[in-house]
Amino acid sequence: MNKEVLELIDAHRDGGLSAGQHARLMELLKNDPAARRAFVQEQMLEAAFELETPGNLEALPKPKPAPRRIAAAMLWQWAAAAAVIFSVGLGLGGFLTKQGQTPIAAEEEPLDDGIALLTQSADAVWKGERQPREGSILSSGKLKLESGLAQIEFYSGARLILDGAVDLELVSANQAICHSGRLRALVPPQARGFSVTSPQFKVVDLGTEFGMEVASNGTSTVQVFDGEVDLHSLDQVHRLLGGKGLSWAKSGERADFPVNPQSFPSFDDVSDLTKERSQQRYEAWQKWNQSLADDPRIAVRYDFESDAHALTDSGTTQSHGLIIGCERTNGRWAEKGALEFKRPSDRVRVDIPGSYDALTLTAWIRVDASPGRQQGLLLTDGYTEGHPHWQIAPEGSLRLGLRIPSSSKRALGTGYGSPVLFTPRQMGVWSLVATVYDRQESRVRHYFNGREVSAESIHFDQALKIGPADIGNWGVPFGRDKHPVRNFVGRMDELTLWKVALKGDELQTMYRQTRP
Amino acid sequence: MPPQDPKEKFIRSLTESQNRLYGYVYSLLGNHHAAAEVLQETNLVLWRKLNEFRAGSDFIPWAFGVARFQVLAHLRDAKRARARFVDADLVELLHSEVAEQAVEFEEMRVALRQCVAKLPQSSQALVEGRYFRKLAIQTIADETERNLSAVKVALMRVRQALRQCIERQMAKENAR
Repeated sequence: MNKEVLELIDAHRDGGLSAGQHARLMELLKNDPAARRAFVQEQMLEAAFELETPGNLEALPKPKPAPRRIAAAMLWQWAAAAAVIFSVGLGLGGFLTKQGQTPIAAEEEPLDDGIALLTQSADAVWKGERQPREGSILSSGKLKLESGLAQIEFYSGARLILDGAVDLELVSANQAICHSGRLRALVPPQARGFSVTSPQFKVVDLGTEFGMEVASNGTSTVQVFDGEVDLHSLDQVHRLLGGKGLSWAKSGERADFPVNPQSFPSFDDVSDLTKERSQQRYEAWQKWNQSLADDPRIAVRYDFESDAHALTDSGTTQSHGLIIGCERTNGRWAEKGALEFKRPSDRVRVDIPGSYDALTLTAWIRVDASPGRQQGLLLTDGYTEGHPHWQIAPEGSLRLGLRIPSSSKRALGTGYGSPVLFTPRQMGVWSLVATVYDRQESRVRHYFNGREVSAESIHFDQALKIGPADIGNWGVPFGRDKHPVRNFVGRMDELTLWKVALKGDELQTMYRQTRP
Repeated sequence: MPPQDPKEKFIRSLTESQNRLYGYVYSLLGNHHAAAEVLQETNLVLWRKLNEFRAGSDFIPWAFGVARFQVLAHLRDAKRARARFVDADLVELLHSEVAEQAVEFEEMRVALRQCVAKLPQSSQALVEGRYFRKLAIQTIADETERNLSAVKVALMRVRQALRQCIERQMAKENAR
């Protein structure tokens, strides 16, 4: 960019243009499109700064009273207009705060405060805000299992089985507090020193397996199945060897306690039960899957079940996908077929006919790498009007990108983004993503696990078309030698294009019926 | 679901275009107070013209058109003749470029935030002070115990870095 123009613009912005400079700037703006472009960019930047400034709303003048010439019949409209202006003010404010808080995770080094992983769960019902699922990374804090079984692996290597109801507090990779309930702990040599604290004592494990219970009357018991543990109380340390148990009442009364490893669920029990439940859920999914066989609302559906070299479309258009690179793997359940996308070459080529006034895209995916760059879920080839780019944006939000219809040579992008969904916490966890494009209602909505996370008006009304496209990648800016890396990193085991706008309750039901 | 009330649809479009309209109006006027005022007037006119808006056509280009006339009306107003730099000729000269960039205003704001976050800490503080908190350059110089010209040079460099970063970021966005 011309240095002179920029210097003049800077001087203009700071209010310091001489008459001669002013004339020169006008001349440049008149004759040089690049100068105009640079000048407007600077103005836009100023406007953007202004909107980022906290408290800028006060700067907006109050709505003016209606001019007198307005007829009485129009007064109601004016009342409504005043309401619009008011809500516009609020809307702007709300927008500012919301946007101001948007994490810019993609630009910073990702930090992880995880200390443990929920590896297995069977019939688990969680209470409170934290509702972990299999594969969830857990950070410090309370974890309340109301019923069912759950297995937690700490980063130190220690493993716990919670036998609900359990009120547990995770402190660090090396420490947990059991406020109430029953748990079994396996502490391999690498995790020596892992401790669980009860109201009466702290059990420091010296490499072993033990069971612990904090009863509702406040009595804590510990049973050492194997190895040895140290019991730290306020004033002393007891060493307890394998085959010994101890109960410790609230009153301070202590007694030997018989050891019975069978009284606690074992790691095999959890694993067996998890498998059994997984199979049941898979069978339930199969039934649901069959029920969609002749569903007229479906345009294209890939259930990822067949082992064929193609991805079979069970919808009406028979738009089978050609698998390139991806490896077959298992999905939400061990029995479920899925594809793993890993390398920049991995993709499924599809060609989907039709033009859609309403389109719902639903997919079960497991994102395995923090986004940081765009990851394509379903990207139409190239970048043309009406052809959507369904993807995960660098900051981790779900996004429907569209090119704005424009006579300009520059490709103008617009899009509909959700809040950030794919945080480091969500890596490795299966989730149902859905995006609904509805011309009739003029809305684009995103759903995450059946819950609506964003809704926006359609910016430019147009029908959507897919045509040649890639699942899990971007099917090329053909003709270019190099192209951006947009591949999805993770697994996908279900993808459906509905030619209707599915409603919130339908998506919620879908989530409940098909969740792992 | 029954077809949506056109009025509701209109209000929604209007609400969601506020920032873009602000970007449009500000870029032509170069003054925040005037821009806020003209934005309000534009909102009222848009509302009055509700029935002229054809459902299905694009709201934004139409709204920009209305905003342009409000900017010109504002400039015509005798009391505002003091507006030195901006005049009707300049509006004519710039409005199509402004409209093109204002369509992408929200994307630009996202890019700006990402780019500010990428700056080194000291530059971020500078941007925060000068452009967000609107501190005088002298105040920043005093606060950071640097001399005035050093702060000016630093600001110019930061501005340059932001400019380039935003352009790159938006080029990336547009390649989506």
